[in-house]
Amino acid sequence: MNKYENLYVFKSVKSLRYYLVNIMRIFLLLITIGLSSAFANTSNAQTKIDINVNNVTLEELFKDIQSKSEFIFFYKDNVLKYNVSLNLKNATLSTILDTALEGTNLTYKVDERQVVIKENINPKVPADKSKSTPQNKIITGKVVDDTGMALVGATVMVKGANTGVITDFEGNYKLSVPGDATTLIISYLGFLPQEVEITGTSIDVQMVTDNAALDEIIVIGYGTEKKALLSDAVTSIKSNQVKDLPVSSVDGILQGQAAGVQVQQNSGTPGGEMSVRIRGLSSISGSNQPLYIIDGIPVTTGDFAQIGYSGQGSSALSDLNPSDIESISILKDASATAIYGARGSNGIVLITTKRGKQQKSVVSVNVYSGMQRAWNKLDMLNAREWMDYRNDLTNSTVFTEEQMNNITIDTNWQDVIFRTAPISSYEVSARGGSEKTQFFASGTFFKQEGILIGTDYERMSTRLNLDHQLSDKVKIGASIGLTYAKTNRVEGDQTLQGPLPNGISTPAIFPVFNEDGSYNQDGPYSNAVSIANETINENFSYRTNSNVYLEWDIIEDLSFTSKWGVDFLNFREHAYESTKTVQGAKFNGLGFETYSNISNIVSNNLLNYKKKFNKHKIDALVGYTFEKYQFRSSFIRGQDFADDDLEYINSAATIVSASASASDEGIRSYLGRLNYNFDDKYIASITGRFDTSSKFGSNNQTGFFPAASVAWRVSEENFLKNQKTISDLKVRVSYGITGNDDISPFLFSELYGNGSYGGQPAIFPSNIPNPDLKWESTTQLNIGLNVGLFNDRITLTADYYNKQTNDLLLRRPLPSSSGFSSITENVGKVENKGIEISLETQNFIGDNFTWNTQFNISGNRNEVLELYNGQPIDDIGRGGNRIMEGQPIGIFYSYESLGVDPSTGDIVYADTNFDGQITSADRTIVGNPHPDFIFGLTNNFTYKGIDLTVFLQGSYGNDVFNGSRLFLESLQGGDNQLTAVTRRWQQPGDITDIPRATTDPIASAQNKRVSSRFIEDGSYMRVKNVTLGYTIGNNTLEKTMFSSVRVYVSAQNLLTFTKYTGLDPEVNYRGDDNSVIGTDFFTYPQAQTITLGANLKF
Amino acid sequence: MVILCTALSCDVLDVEPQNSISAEEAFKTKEDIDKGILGAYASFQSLSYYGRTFGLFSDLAADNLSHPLAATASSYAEVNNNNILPENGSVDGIWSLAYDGINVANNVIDKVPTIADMTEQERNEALAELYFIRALNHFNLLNYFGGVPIKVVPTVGVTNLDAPRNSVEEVYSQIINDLNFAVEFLPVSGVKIRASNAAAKGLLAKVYLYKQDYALAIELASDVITNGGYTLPPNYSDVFADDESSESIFEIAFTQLERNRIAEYNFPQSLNGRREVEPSQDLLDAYGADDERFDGSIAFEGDKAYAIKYDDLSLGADNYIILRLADLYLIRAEAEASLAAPNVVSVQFDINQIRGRAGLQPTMESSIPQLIRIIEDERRLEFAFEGQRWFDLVRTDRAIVLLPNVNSPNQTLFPIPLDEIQTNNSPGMVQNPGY
Repeated sequence: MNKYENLYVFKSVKSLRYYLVNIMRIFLLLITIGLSSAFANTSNAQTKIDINVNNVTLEELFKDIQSKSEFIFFYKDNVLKYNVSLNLKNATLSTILDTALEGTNLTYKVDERQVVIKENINPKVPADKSKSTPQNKIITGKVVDDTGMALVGATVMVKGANTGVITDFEGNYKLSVPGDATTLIISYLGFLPQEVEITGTSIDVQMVTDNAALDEIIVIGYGTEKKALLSDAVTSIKSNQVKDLPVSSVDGILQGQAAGVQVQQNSGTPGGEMSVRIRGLSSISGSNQPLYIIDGIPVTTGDFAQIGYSGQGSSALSDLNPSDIESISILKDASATAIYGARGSNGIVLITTKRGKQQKSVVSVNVYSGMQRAWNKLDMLNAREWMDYRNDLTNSTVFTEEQMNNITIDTNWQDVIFRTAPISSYEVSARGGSEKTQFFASGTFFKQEGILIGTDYERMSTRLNLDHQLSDKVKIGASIGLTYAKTNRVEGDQTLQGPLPNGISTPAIFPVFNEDGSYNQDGPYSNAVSIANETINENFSYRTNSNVYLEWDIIEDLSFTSKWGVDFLNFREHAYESTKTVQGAKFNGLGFETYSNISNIVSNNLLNYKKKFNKHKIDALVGYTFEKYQFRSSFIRGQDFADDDLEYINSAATIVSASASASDEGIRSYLGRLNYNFDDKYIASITGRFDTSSKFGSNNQTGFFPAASVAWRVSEENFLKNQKTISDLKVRVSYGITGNDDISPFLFSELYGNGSYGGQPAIFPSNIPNPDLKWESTTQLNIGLNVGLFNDRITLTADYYNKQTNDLLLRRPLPSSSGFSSITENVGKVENKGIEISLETQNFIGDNFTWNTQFNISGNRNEVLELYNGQPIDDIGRGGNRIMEGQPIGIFYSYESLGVDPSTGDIVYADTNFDGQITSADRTIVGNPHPDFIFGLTNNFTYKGIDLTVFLQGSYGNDVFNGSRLFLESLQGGDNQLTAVTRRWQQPGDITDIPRATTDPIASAQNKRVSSRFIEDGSYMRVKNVTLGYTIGNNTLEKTMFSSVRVYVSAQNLLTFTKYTGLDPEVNYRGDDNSVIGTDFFTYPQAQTITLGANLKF
Repeated sequence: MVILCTALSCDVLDVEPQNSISAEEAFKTKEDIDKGILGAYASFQSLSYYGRTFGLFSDLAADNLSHPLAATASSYAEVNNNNILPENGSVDGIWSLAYDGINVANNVIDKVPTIADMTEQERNEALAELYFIRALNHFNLLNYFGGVPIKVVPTVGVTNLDAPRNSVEEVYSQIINDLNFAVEFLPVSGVKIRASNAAAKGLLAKVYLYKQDYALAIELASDVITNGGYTLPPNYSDVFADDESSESIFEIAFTQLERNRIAEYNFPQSLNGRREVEPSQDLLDAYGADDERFDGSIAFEGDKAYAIKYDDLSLGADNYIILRLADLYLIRAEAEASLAAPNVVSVQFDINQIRGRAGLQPTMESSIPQLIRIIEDERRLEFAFEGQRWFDLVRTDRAIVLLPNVNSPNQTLFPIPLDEIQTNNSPGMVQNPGY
């Protein structure tokens, strides 16, 4: 040891002890963990260490290094008088020491494991050092994010040296590097660090988002939390996961992206309403849709149309432009949702819109345009087959052989009503800001024609999000979203006025037009084309969704936020049925004009206290919020119009109906949350909210919703700290109570409704009072596990939950002999249990090629545990859905078909009670509309500038009641029939599944009973989206105005695999209904869409 | 800001219903009682009730209407085939709306004594009108379903709602009590869309006929015929041409706001109707060659016959007649003919009032059994599409004889709706036999 010339006398005792201890430590480390990496690092100098110290003495730093590596430090006692702060990751010893000793009079020397620190008589100024290196060269370049946007403040360092710079306002850097430097390291929070070989003098770097980063910040209720430190079940979706999907609304985006979230697009109607279910159905009478919150403000969702379109409800949610979204958090367990109290039971969807950043302003243009078509059509009888069937049905010669051989009219009605329809979206946004003020502004025009004639949707939206630092302590900001949307709809299936049911049901022998050009109305239903072309069914949405906020850092650790938001929705419907349609002719022109005005004013006031002492961290939140909701609507119906060109009510000679109504609601709440975290290892959280709502009865006006969760980050324990396989291991448990308050106001009180009789006002009792009425309460247990392997290249999130919902707000059926059919009471229990698994893997990370996979699968088991007196709610909807104890909500309950009796040709039904006759008592469970499991699978590939995303989504094990077949295989009446009826029973001995065609009214009615005959397996797997993109290299763009250009082609619903015989397995004619589930009845199918798009940045 | 928050949030919970009236506010004056009475009439306007289904089903279950092959409403097909399932939604609607009317009436009946500004006479008049409404609802239920639960107290909570069925006799007795009160206190009035003294007497006459208390039926019918001031318009079609004809005694008001949909279900598609029902061939064949009632009841579109008594397809604003003078003549005739010692001339006189107006020769038939058949036929043609035929055939035990689909007495009662059976837990709530 004394071979070092300038070695000072070291503290022999201390160093010897360290030496021995460290020898033993390394020895144990090698033996017990046996990591190959330890052997691989034969050169100690290459050992990488993470250092994060703040204002410590050099001695402490060296101890830290010693504890993390095999190095031993030797130094003179009194030389380490400097304090240092360092934050380096994966740094070599030389990097650490260069940085730490910079500006001191100390130098170092490394020999094997020994590091000797000594004083330098002539300390070099660092600047001199770089200057004096003879072969230094200057490297310039630009660092951008994965979308091509400049990254301000990214660190660019020379590998193995302490030289480094930070990128400027435009993402540019200029760095002087030693001549022998080979590699640059570029790092930026939230992105994977990149090592780039030094070739030439210009190096541009595109960073890749570090999706798995545990540092990722997740938006939670009234705050944010690091993903690693979450003790709740929260799924986060980032905007880049769902960009470029040709989907018009947020709910559509959620489909297949998150475990435990079932999204059903009930109909292909553009701008239509979807069903979103987070962890199953917990309510029978109330809503099962989650609460949507945009930038902290609850938004009005649902269907405000006053003119019914059966299952094609409008969706207030579609007013939000999906491309304004930065991230979506889905809160699933009680601990995450209890802070939303009486509205938390169905889960929460937190939407955060894009905000400005401190950066050079970037203008983005995103456009796409494409075509859509029906991916599936039904096999219907052609004219000849129809004639043949009619002759058989009537057992007579309705059509002669000659007629059948000389068919002139053979209309394929599906080709008439379906069309290839364009879809396009044009979006311009700008984002940027200075140190004090940041902004995000966007404008979007979206237009989609429907694949069914007469339907389309267009939306214009604009958003401006501003943030301004008023002073050191005060920040203010505003988010302003404005939307105009127009939807053209057609009537659906519940009436005989829908183009889809009418078109499909009209036999091919009828032409669309008569020879004189008028609509042919000879078919059994109104001419489908006449309805689509001659009716106006428009609705208009004028939406403002805005808020302002103030953040005040009162003192260190304590801050106050007040946010005031408004959600104004003006919804107008304009409809006119001209005299060219059957319906319009009946009324000599029929017009509607409706207005709905919904306003919700929200105030959130939060006090937040964050304190860290030693290893304890406390994050406390108390809040006070209130909301005021007002609904006003009017409705006018007029008829006897002067002319078909005059479509507004002022031209109607008769006002048939004119009304207006109003309703007010209010909620006042106090909320709180306390998070405690020990050493980022043990985490506990307690949440609670008091909600006082005007909807609840006087005996129960305020509800308390508490929840708690704990998490243990096992991977932070010492026994797992020094290995490389498991990078994250966390166990979570949460338990709590949330509510569902979705009932009409004033149901608790005795009310009289009003009407008229003979032109005079009339009143009548309309509600039985129930002062005990309150929210539904859901108790939820969640046990979760997070695993990250190989530096989080593989991450797994698994959750088990058990949701018990009590005090259901049930419209308990009453004997109608009471004069009321039901009363809303807190009775009944529902259970949802399930497992959710998400797996994300980065299968391949190369310089040119990357491949990653996200997979989620979840299964929910729903069961009705208790109803009032065990009374089932029976025979709901067209498919015989039923709510009964011991079964999932909306089970199919009807007659069980045993098939066609070969001797009679009639359907035989199971006589389940063996009483010798088929009565309603013989009905039994014939199907389950709930899937066994749902899944989504996304694979992302990139190769150089090419990116490919393949997204599969599906549902397994759910049954669908194919109600269209009730008519299309009815073998009676004038409806066109499916080609399946060509295999109908025709003579004794025929063995088939289709009964005989008969005019016997009893036999034919019995044969088309709602029964298991029409229940089908609704499982499906969709290649929901495939997107192939190409990003033009930065070098090519250098001389252009663009900073980034990407072009892509995207296919939505490219392939669907299903056994279902109807138009689309993902249907429900009743739209977003709780109990009528999985029932198809001439429902608008989904479109297959191919789009071409481009993302440009300036 | 804290003050602002506090001030505003107290406000957010302070909301009042905007579309409904709270119970405390609803009944304070005699005008409020009148609004309540009209609320009870409003139940009659429902599509399940006189707005459409109630009347159509009586002709459809019998032989006046049939359900076209191409029609789609399966609940109508079941009634046409006399093969009705307990889950039939339209039948459920009739049951529910009749009881709705009873409950509304009972509710107002309860409030009448609490109103300070009403005289004893005003109270009795109000109660009389409400009792009339309650009686008509009970009577309608009785005729379709047999003995039904009698309801005389309003539903204000959810207790004691499990009601047993009462016997037919008990229901009759309740109806007669209510109508006797109505006869005593209802004023003589020319208003036809609300109960009048003559309406109460006429309805009571009909109840007595159904109950086979013939002497009382004759007494009350004669009272209305003689003292009511109603006259038969010379042209049959004038009875339905306008609302409130000279022979109409009681009708349910329909305006464009409360539209009925009777014409919609009768009219063929080519005239923009739905044609869920059409006149049966049997009925078309039943009219004599000179019967003016044919043209007053039926029209043709091509070869498709359709009923036209209620023909306001566009507005549905034609009043629905419950009781008219012709009915009282035929009630009196039938009651007289059913007496032990009938006066044949008197029976002939009443029948010929009806035949004469229809442009037919007077009947000279003197055989009482034959006269009873003639009355049956006259009732069929006179009241075709007015919702009487099924009740006439059932009360005279003629349904099995005349209707090919009715083979068992069980079929002469409609099933109690499944919802009632499932929710009414009284052991006395039992399904009709055969369902």
